[in-house]
Amino acid sequence: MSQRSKIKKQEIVTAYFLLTPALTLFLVVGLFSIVFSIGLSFFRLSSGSLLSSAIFAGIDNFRDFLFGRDQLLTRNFWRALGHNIWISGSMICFVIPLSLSLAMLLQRIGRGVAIFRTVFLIPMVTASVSIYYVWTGIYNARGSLNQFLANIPFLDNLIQANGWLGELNTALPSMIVMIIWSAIPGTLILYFAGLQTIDKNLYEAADIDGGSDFQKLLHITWPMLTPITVIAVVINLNAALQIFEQIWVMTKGGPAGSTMVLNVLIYQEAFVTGAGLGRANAMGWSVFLLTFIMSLISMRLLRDPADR
Amino acid sequence: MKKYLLFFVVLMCLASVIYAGGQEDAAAQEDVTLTLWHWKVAFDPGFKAVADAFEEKTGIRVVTEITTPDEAYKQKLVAAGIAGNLPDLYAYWADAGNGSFDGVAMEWAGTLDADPAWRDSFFPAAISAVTISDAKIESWLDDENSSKWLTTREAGQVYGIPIDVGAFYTIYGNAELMKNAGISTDNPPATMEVWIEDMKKIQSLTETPGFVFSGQAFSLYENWFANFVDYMKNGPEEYTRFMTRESKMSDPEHMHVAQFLEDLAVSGNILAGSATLGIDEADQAFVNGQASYLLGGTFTFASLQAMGMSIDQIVSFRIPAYEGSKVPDATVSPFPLVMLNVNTNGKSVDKAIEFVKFMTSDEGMTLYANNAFDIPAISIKDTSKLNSVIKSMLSSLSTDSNWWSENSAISSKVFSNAEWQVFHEGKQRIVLGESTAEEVAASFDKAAEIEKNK
Repeated sequence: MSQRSKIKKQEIVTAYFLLTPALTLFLVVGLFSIVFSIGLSFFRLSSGSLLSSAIFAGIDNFRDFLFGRDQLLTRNFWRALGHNIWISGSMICFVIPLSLSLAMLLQRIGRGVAIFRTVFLIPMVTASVSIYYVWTGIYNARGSLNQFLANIPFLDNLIQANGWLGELNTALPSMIVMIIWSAIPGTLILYFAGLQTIDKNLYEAADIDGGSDFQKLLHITWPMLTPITVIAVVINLNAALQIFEQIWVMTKGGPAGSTMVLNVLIYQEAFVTGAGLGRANAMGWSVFLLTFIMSLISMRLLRDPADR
Repeated sequence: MKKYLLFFVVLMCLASVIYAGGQEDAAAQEDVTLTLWHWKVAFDPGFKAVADAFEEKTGIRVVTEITTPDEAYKQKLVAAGIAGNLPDLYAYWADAGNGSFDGVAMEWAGTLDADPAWRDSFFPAAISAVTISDAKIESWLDDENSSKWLTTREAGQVYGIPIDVGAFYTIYGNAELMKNAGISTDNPPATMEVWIEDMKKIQSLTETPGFVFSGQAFSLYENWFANFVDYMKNGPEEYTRFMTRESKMSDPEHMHVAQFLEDLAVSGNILAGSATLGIDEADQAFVNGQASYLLGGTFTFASLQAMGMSIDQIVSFRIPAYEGSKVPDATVSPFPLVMLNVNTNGKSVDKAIEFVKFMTSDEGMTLYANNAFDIPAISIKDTSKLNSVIKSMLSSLSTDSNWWSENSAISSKVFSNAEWQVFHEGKQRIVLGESTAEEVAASFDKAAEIEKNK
């Protein structure tokens, strides 16, 4: 064995040695939890029982909420999924263009860029739960939004007597506004970083050819930022389908299920009604599968044409 | 030289780790420290006062750990139960067999029988509510999620010892608003109809809506109000038929469950936003004078006081019965709210039992009640040491066991039967004016029919 390959082998051994703690942690905590949770989704287990009491249920847990074996749960599941899809669609339709616009604006601003950057990043750096309470206050029946509308002529008929989160028609849209607001900073940072990597010569060449701002956006900025957009779409989609804490803190899925989303339903199933940990796990894995498929579709749709 | 230095450092580290481990073992043999988990921040001073007195007497330390809110505590217990990592003692929502984790919790029937004086010191309703009944076993047998262990329990078994009692079905009134409207604050309204008229009267004079409750909390209206009103209106037999899906909500006898809400909502007597209010938020709205009456329990009094209301600002009375009710004078026996479970896999089960017995002794319960502002589960012989608020609350409660307290398994169908989940949403829709009582009752009946035919 040559000296060189001996050194290489030593490096490999060292690399594995250094990886061992992280790998062990993943295998013990991560992989075990995943396998355990998948396994549990095929068993019946109420939340006050021990693992030894689990009864094998085959695919009954999945049939319960997917195919109407439990009609109420099935109705709630599909309704919650619908809300998740609404949130996902809204996030992609609003967060991506708004973040890109703000990132481009930030890039163009000469003076005070630090101030604007700080302002735009406030939702990201503030403790999330306190933000949710502030928004709850804004949307409250006696909250600032209603107070504001009361002072504007012709807009006072928009006042929501039960609060913006208290009416069936306004609760979900109000939640979506808050979710979009809090999702913008993360995507904005991605786009802002992406914009710095675009070669300035491309814009200069476009200027020489008489390209308008819109043409530059369409033919230079947008294609160059495609990899960033893919990441942004996947991150926002994932966030929308996994959404929990905002809804749990602000509405608990109400009123009358109008803001119910899948993860809140799963949490209720496991720890509020205590109906079944097995069923909650089965629902959790269905959400994962859905998120995975949607992410794959997004990545495929937004793939660089050159790679197709 | 460096190698030797490194070797020496490693050796010293190892030696100190081994020494520390040995010290811990030795310490463990000398002292016993029990861990007690619970979820009630307000009750912690009570638990701590008992723990301090217990340590003084026995040298055994009891350390309390709080996890809040309720769901987070339940989540922690479920995880600990599955991982076999429950503490020596844990508080749980009092109900027969609740939180027993398939036998991890100690069974107390034998211990209670062996010490009749201790057993008899509990209010009858407190101990009967945590004792497994035939009706409870039947409800477990009906639930496909019940473990085999639960379905093979025997009537008479007890898996947790109650530490407090309380009652729902309490209405709190704003004394000032009532006086201004010329409504007596000395006598409670004779009937439900009179009370509703009182609300409307206050509203017409002050524009203050009559009623506030937590519409967000699952089963609060159902379990703190509607089931008791239905029991009073129809008597035990018809009430049982309704709860066991033999009668319908749309039947005239039971329509009041939805109709009460619709009548108040239509007349503007439910505080706007009630559908999304949590329990504390509803209490706060009442304290702020946003509604003239609040739905609560005996335990609500302490919250109202903590939020700044004084005794003379509050009027309280039991929910009135409808005119012509079959059991209009139904007494509200206090039932246990929190019970203490002992983990049979704990390190010092006998010490944990000793603590529970001390806590539920005259001395322990007095300390607990005075520091937690909670009503004790036992009949304290020497009440002179109890603070005046607890004493007055105790005197207002009937401590005898009755049909209502002995049949909690029937009333708790509002938690286990799926049609009540449908009603929970329907109730919010009525409050928001999006559905009528008739529509909600029909959807309740439909869900009950489906569940019944399963």
